[in-house]
Amino acid sequence: MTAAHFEDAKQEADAAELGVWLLVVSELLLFAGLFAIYVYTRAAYPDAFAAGIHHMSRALGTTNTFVLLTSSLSAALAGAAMKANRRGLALACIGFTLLCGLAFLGIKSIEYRGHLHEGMGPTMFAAAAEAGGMPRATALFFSLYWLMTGLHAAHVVGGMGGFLWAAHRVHRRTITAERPHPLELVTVYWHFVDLVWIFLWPAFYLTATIR
Amino acid sequence: MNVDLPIAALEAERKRTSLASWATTTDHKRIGIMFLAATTLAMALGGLFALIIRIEHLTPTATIVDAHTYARLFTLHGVVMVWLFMIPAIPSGFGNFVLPLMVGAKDVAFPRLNLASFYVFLLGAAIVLGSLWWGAVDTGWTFYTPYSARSPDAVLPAAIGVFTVGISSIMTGINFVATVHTLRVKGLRWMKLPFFVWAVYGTSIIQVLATPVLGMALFLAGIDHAFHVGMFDPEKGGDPVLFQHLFWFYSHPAVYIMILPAMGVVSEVVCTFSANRAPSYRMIVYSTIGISLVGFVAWGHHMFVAGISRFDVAAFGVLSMLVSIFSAIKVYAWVGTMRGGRVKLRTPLAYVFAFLFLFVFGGMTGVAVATTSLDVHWHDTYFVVAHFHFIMVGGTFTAFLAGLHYWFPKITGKTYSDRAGLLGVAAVFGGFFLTFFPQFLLGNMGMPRRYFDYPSAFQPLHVTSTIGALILAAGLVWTLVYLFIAWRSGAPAGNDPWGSAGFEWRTASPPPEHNFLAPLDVTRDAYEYPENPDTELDR
Repeated sequence: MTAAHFEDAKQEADAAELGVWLLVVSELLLFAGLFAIYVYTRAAYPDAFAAGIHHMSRALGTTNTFVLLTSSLSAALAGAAMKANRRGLALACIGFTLLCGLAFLGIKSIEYRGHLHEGMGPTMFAAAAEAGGMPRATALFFSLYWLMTGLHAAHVVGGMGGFLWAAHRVHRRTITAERPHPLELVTVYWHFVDLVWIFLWPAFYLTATIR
Repeated sequence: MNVDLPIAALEAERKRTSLASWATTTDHKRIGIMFLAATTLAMALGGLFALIIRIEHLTPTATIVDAHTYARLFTLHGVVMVWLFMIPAIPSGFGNFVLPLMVGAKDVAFPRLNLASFYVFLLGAAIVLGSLWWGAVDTGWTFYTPYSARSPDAVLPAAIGVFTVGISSIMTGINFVATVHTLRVKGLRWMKLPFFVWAVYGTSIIQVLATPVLGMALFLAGIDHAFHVGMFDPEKGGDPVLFQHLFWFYSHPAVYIMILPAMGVVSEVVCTFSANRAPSYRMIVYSTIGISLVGFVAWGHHMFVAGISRFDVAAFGVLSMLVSIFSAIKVYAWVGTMRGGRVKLRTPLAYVFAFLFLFVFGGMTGVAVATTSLDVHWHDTYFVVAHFHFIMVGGTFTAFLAGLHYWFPKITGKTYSDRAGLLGVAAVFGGFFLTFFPQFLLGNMGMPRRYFDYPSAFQPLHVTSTIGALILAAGLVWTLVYLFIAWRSGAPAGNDPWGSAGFEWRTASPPPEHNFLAPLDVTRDAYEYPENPDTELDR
């Protein structure tokens, strides 16, 4: 059913699509500000950043990349299944996407716990960096790490909320084969969250040797 | 005869006007009115802080507050005026009320998001003002690091409050862009959109793109203060100039978030009260787009003395001057509209004259401070304070009042006394000029901004400035009083009291729930007046 202030269903779908893309652009600028800080600070302290990256678990970071990419595939399949009017399959795909999201957050929290255990928490790293024989500015690396991956994790939670809402609507049959756009728009957002990780992954796990 | 009917009608009327119906409304007109009420309240509060500052400066040393309280007052004045009044007032207030009317839509694209935006704004305002509980902030509205990392005051709540208000701003921006793109009535092409719609559209794009960067920068500054992370603190390896870049990447475009909607109001008022179309529709629209784009690459002119390279200084200086070219195009277009039209001097147009004076005066001093060699002398003095109060505050504020008097009959369905209005213009403009003109002179003599004490030689000019502020305040109280009386007991306004061709005047005042009873007919465009046949240069 179309809301009263729209002429027809197409106008409503167009507005919703534009709205979500605008949200994505705005979020992009949110992360862009942080990446700008990252690049600027890394240019000033290349050694500290290299030390910080050496401290990360490349295996866990890379696993998480695979988990998130897989979830994007299943999210895209959910939309395709919905368009083919296969509700059961669509719900299964959404469920798998949510599982991947949970797995991502689980792996991330294992990493976070490790950092906390080593004294690299969000508020105590300046002293810890020196105690661990790393350059002082490694503290800046860690504050950026916590902030950027933490913000990203919050976006993962937000995207999972979106999929729960979409699953509810598929179940209630207000997302249908003729009107699949709410599900597709949640997927657009999910892909964006995924893409941010594609940049966080090299920034915090892979590029220790790049000066 | 059915005697239940009037009672049922009364019941329906009571439900329609109950507090709960306002709190849960998704009607863009009501949300606009709530934004207008909230931002006006914020303006009164910010004005109160300003008055205390001015009274404090009556004597060269302590008059009524101590130095630390003084620092907190000018911070709160700036934060409240910028983020709680000037940025949301015209777009979220008037924009919400008239933008859907101007595109012939029944509502904005996302009415529930619109209501949410209002509550997020209230939440942000509550957090900002809640920082008073912890003794407020003394960093200045710019939150410059490293001081903001070491200030003894509550930086984090204020930063989070501004961040929250920014989220409301983004929500409104998304809503307006989607509305203009998808909800225009059939036949309303882009190049037939009213100027105000273009202005709010350009503003919304800035809000969507720039606000997140500011939110992040302020959040980090707040974290720096609360947890001593040192991201912007040189003692810990951070770079304070980086904060300035991020802050001005938003806060310079924010100047255009304030002034572009103001320009939109001015374009509408000028056309209506000249009963004429602008000499060139396209030039006004292109300059609007030009300002919103160039506004993104001019931020460095706030940092001429912050240690950026000479090349950067020159580049930012030139880019800043581009903005004044676009602005000048608009000024010529407005004057040209009046020159070819039949000018009726009513309160809204009188405010536009005040706008033109303050805007051109402020704009010229803007070109002066964009000249880097001169800026080194004037930087961080009262000259800059007077400059941005003329152009940013004077411009936005007089346009806000012009819009308030222009759309008041549409919003309330009532008329106000024009004579009372013109008296208000005289007091507001006179008071404003008297407040800030002496500050140009003070700044040129070397009076630095944000200083508690000053040499006694500066006292006469400071006292003059304070007298001006009191006159300005009296003018605003007067305006509130006669508008309140008009709202309670003014004569009915009718659909179109100004004889405007604008789209929003082609429905009842106030408009019905879905704005137009029949779809808006745009075959007669928004600036077509019978007595002035087509004289547009574009054709």
